[in-house]
Amino acid sequence: MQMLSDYQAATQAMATAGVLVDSGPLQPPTAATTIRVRDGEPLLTDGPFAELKEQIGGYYVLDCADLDGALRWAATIPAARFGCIEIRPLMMPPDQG
Amino acid sequence: MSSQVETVFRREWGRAVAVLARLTGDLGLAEDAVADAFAMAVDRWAAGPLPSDPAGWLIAVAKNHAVDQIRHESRRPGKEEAAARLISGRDPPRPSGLIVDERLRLIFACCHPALDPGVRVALTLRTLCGLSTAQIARAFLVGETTMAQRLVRAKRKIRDAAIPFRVPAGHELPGRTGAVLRVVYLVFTEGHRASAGPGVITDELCDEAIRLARLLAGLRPGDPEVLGLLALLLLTDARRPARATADGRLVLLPDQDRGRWDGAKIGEGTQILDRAMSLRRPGPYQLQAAIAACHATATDAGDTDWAQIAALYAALASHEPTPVVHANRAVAVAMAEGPAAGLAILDELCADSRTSGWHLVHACRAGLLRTLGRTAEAGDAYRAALALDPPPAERDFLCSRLSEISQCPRQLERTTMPTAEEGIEAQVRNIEARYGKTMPEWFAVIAASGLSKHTEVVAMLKAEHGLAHGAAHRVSLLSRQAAAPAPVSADAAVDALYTGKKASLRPLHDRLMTVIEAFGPDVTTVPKKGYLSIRRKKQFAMIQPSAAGRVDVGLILRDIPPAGRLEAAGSFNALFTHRVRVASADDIDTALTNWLHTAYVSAG
Repeated sequence: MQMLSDYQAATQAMATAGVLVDSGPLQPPTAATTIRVRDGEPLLTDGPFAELKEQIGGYYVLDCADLDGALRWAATIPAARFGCIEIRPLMMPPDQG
Repeated sequence: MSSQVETVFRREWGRAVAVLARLTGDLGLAEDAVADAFAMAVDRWAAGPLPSDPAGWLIAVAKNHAVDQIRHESRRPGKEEAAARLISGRDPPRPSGLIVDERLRLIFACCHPALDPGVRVALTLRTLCGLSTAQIARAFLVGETTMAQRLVRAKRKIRDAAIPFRVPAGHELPGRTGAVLRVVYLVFTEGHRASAGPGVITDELCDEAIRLARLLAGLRPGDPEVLGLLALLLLTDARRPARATADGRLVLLPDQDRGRWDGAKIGEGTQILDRAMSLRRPGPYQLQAAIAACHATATDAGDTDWAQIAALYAALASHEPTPVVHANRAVAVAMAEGPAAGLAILDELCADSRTSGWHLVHACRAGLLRTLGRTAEAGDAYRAALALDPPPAERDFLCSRLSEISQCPRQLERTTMPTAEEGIEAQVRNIEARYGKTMPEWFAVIAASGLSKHTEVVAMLKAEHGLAHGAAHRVSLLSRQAAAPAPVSADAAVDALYTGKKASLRPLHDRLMTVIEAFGPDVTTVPKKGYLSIRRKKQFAMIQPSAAGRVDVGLILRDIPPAGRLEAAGSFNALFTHRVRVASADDIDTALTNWLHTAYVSAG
């Protein structure tokens, strides 16, 4: 349960610093269902949308000034030590960019 | 550009872009705005005196351009406020002490680890040094369009990923400095190796690199590698005045007039190096600076401490085991212990396919063989070096060495223009020998894999068959060529060049071909992408229809300086030396015929 407490500590630090907007772990890809709507017909598939080596295990939404800030916080997420963290800015609606 | 504006351009471009980039967070926008401001300066300043603060004027005008641009961008309608902030003057010109920060901010953004290492140097040359995309494309041996796309992509990434224009915070700075040092070093070597073009640009790149290294040393005075880089650049640059003859030929270190070396730079460089070494954390830049110092402080070539230099290169090889370091170590060992000892190291490098394709290994080997009086082998080694397409200044030097030992001038003429085909043939022989399969066998391997994309084939050859990257790249390319449908006939290919709007240019083409074919029965043509290559024993000219309603004639004329309509080929096509624009039949005159004939004769 070391991992869980590591996550709690990292998430708590983000909250304390006021950058944490939202976060959450995801159930494993075996729990995934994929839906496509084609010609108005929903098509369901059992499984994730792509068979990748890496699977998304969770997400964080952080409010940072720039990439360096985001990188600093991302490096504190425990999964960064054995997996990897992809960082992408949210696309802002035109009147907020 | 008038010389006044040009001076301001060279001095202030980087700073103005840096200020605008920080204000807008958008490097592309910053560059456009500053370019617009300079365009306006050309008109304004030609008519009257320079403003009292040209840089301040430029930045103010650039800000206005940026404001207009932001307002006109319909997809960012809410930017009024940002625009207002830009105008409000809440960002007055900074006192000179802070100018330093602007340039450093920009270089840390350009060298951010989130950017591809390959694009960082190019981006720095464009944004900080103000080089044109065409100049950078030439330096990197890629097309202008390709380079423009790379730069646009990098600038977009900076904007969209929110890479900050900021010197990193104290604890992050050490980790981020290495990438910046690397880029500053490459900016310098780009200028130093004189491949970007003769004269002004290369000198200015060296100056700019030294200026940036000074800024970094001011920022991190306790980092020995930062000091090491500055010392290295100063000590190397001190030799610049003696490094080339008046007509641009390379002068080797032992032959340089040491009286022309810059004593002040040597003094400053050795002092900074001493300070770095006293910190007792050696690294590659300090080691290279120490080597440069051994040369700079020797009273003459015979006085050089080669044993010390060989030891420094051995230490450097443990940090950077690259072919260039090994080759240099071989030369130093040869100087310290005799040519045979150095030759043994170079023979090993030539036997290794990872290093055998590198021209300097062969050039160094040729030099040692020549010293040992093994002339025939030296000649072969010079030819091998020339076949690997060294930069122009080095090529001229190798040619002159070869002509000294060559008894057959005819053969020399042939080797002075090694063709790309010869380089590829040599590489193919190496690949077949090293990996034990003939090309058709490799093609069968690729066909059996079912892969079709070049990158996938290269990855497969590397992963499953242990090919080096260069070898895998070549095998994949040759397999594509082999698999391509039989080439269309030459006539059909020429027809394809002159379709659509270019159809009206066909008579000019035919008239040129009539002139050229009259030179002799051995004129042949090979269709290339967008143009027709014209060859005798080797390529000597080309004809290319231009979208601008004319036909361009490319020529290979080695010893004729460009003048008037006989323009330098420049970025037009790197395989040719000159270009003549043909807009009408009147342009196909005696002068053009003579130039074509001279090119034809020298290709025999």
